[in-house]
Amino acid sequence: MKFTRAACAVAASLASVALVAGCSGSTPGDSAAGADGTGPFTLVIGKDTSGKLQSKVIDLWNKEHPDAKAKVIELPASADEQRAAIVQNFQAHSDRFDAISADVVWTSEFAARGWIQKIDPSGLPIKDMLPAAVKTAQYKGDLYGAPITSAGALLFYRKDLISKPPTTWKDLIDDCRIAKQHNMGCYAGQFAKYEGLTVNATEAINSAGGSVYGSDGSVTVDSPQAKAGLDFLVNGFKQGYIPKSAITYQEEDARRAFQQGKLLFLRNWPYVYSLANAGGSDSVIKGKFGMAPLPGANGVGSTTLGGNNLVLSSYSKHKKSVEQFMAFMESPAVQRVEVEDLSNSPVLTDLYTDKKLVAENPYLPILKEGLLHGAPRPQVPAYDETSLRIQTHVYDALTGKKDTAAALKELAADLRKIPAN
Amino acid sequence: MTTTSKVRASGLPGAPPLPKRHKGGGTWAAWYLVAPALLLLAAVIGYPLVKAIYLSLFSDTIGGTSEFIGLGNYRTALTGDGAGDFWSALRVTGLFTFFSVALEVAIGLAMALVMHRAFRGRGLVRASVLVPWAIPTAVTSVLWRWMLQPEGIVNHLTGGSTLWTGSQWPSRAAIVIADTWKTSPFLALLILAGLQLIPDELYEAARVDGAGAWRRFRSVTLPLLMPSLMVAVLFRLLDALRIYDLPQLLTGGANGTTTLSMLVVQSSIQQTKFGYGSALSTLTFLIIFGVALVFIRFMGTSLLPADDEEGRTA
Amino acid sequence: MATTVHSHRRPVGVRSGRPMTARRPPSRVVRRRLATVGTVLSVLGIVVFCIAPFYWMIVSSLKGPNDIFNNDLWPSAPTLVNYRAVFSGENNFSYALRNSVVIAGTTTLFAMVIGVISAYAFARLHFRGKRLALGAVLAASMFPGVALLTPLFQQFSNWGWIDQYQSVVIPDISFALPLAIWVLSSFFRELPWGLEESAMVDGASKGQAFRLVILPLAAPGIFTSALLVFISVWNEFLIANAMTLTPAAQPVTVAIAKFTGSSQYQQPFSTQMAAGVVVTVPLVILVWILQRRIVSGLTAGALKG
Repeated sequence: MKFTRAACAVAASLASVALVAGCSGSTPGDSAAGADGTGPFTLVIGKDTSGKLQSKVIDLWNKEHPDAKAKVIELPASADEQRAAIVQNFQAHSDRFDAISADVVWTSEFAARGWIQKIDPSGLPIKDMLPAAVKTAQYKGDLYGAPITSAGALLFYRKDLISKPPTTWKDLIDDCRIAKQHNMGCYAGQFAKYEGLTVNATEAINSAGGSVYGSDGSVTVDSPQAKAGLDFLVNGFKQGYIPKSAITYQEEDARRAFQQGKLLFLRNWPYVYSLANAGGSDSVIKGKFGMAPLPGANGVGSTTLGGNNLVLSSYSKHKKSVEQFMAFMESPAVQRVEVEDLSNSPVLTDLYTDKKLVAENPYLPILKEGLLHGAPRPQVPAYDETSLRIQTHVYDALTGKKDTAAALKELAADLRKIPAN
Repeated sequence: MTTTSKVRASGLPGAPPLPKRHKGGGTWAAWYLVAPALLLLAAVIGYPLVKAIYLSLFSDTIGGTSEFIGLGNYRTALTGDGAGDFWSALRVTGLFTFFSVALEVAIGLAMALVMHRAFRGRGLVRASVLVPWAIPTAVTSVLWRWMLQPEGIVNHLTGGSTLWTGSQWPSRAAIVIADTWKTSPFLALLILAGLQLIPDELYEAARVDGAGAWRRFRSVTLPLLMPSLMVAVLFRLLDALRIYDLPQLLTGGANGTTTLSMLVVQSSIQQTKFGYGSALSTLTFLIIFGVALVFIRFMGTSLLPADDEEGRTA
Repeated sequence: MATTVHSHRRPVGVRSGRPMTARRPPSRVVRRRLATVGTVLSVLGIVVFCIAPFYWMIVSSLKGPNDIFNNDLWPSAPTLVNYRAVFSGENNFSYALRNSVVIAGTTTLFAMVIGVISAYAFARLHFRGKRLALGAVLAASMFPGVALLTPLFQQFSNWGWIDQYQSVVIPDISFALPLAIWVLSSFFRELPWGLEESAMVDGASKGQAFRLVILPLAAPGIFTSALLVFISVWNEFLIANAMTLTPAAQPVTVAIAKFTGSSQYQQPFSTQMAAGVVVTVPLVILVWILQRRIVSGLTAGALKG
């Protein structure tokens, strides 16, 4: 049994070593607490796509506030994974995250759960911001974050094939015969079953004067207006002005189809502009497309708002500094950097008509028109469940499994069953 | 396939134990040896499991306090509002598991048999078989999603216009194909290691006795391979029943491709509903436990030795 | 099907001589040729099956950011721009590679040592509760992994372990153990333990007998399990993503999840593919070399000695 005993010893020591193994990963322990709520803090963001946030924004702040430096924590690019990491930290009541750049749709839940702080609006330039963007940061009438970037969709169209972009759905459907002549698809957005479908569906519903939730918080998705809106998409698949393959499209698949000349109209975010105009074999439509606000049932449609709100963790020890940082992020100088260097859309209304910015980003004034007509997605605490229900029933309607009225009726019933909303 | 009549009868669960020959000290020494593994598993997996069972008895609220609701979450999942999702996810998971594991066993076995033969360039084949398994799953899913786009390379090469992620059976086929591609090598490697244990002399003997290739495979290779094959299949089953990444990324669960683990993620992670999510986790655990039990009972009696199994060397 | 072979015993009186080829009837030659053709075809089939998607991955990784929609089987203008992007400063990729090596290496080492010791007990020792213990080990592989995240995160967060290697390594060891223990004990049970006893009769201690006789025989099984453990840890994402928030301890899978295009909507497909190639190819080459040198060496040595 000598061997057995030796093995036991090895095993026992291994078990204890395992517990302390590899403690060499460094800890970000900056906990120099100021009793007045000032001091260094962490800024949690999704992956910074430009890589310029540190040099163009954070370094500036840190130079001016040596006692309240911001330290950036980058999360994975996918919104789901960002949310998972943020929620984990809230649930552990951890002060590791102070200021968080949160997707606009998370604000209501974080506020309802008490994870984030109410913000005093007097410190922020509220009246200079896009009203819809401010709305995304509100929950039950109170402000729970500082909108720092916004996002809205555009209608991209082939200006070499049609002279004037459609402003209503009827015009758009009329133009589809041009697509037919050229043997291409007419219109597509994002219709795969994921968050993008919620965006596209609420957009269609809002653009026909409907809504998912009314202003009093009741479910209104079974209204005739909502049906008219969703029918624009359902009929698209039925009558063929939306190509069948669009049921698998996320942003990139739709961009692929448009850039390869297979679509006359594309609903997508402004990022398509520079990519479709780039060289390379990916785009056969360089210089051949224009942009317009999304069309609606009777005139300009209502884009669904994306973007991020800067929120303040309830578990932060340096709340004061974070609130000061919020005001800094709203300053025209930083908002300008958001457009020029970080490829985001600003929340300050004036910047959309700023000459220098428009010269480089000609879509800005068009986007502004869309955003002024825009609306947030449902502002409910159980947003993820709500969105999942919307996706399920809308997808069934688009694929013809149910007719539009039945799908919306079932959706409304499901939404009414979610107690938290 | 039935495993052989020659498998030690004592290995059957429920069979009467053999007379005890070793007593006392042996048991303690053995427990010391397995203690580190058991303690670690108890801490990292046992503790969350128990906690999940406890949490599954409470309601979910946003902003309020959770209340004890007994088996309410289980009722919701099995017969209430969640029943449609749950039973459909169970069927889908079972379907994926059956087809992908069956395909993987067939392909993995073929790979292992080929790799086991001596020929020039065998090392290269072994290396290439490893490739799909070695690519990180996140990258694999992106790769397959990209290849299966309507305008992607698969449709381009086949001249088809299948919407791989746009309707029910193509979606399901796509997930099974991608999963089979990714994990057949796992089975192949385990089976190969099992083949390497079979002494060459046995083949020679069988050959001398005039057994053909098929006969040698059936009466030498397969029976001797059974223990390693069954362990491999068992673990593939457990993994396949928990499949999450591939369907999530390829279809997002549309067109009847939502699996049990996707439901768990939806409720515990995405919707932060711990009570309900924990109930779903527990149900998933119980289902997999049941499958494993049935599998061991009917397919792999040699997998679980009796408590007092006799030494081989006797 | 009928089995006439006792899996655990070598049959006695096996003749080691090969039958002479001359005695074979001519039809055998034909059959052998057919078999060779069959082998070649199946080898080709397997290699194509495994490599084709990987080939597309390599091709995609060599395409510029504005050529990724192109379906040509060879990039018209191959470029290394994606590989440069993978290793560019802001991705911390070389650091992540180092973390992956540390995490996967440590995990494999611990999992194999603990696994071999436990498997030895399960395969060779007789003790009450063995089936229960083996069953418990197996049951650890039945709980949905995502359900472990929150409780573990809260615990590790309380202990200040977040962003440190052990918060990833310890869960990874536990995920690896059930497979390692089951595979190893099924292997150990098939080994000719009579050799161990003979060695002990010849004066070796139990430890020596295990080390010098049994371990080399078990080498293919141990190597395979270690390989499976290493690769599954190398590819692990869930735990690593939850437990590491800064690049300090983040492995490659988490680093890849942070790749982005020029905007949040653009998928950096070709860069992701390049990263996939970077983490896969060295691994496969390493395994190939190890397999040739170590395993065949050990096995051959054991059989000769």
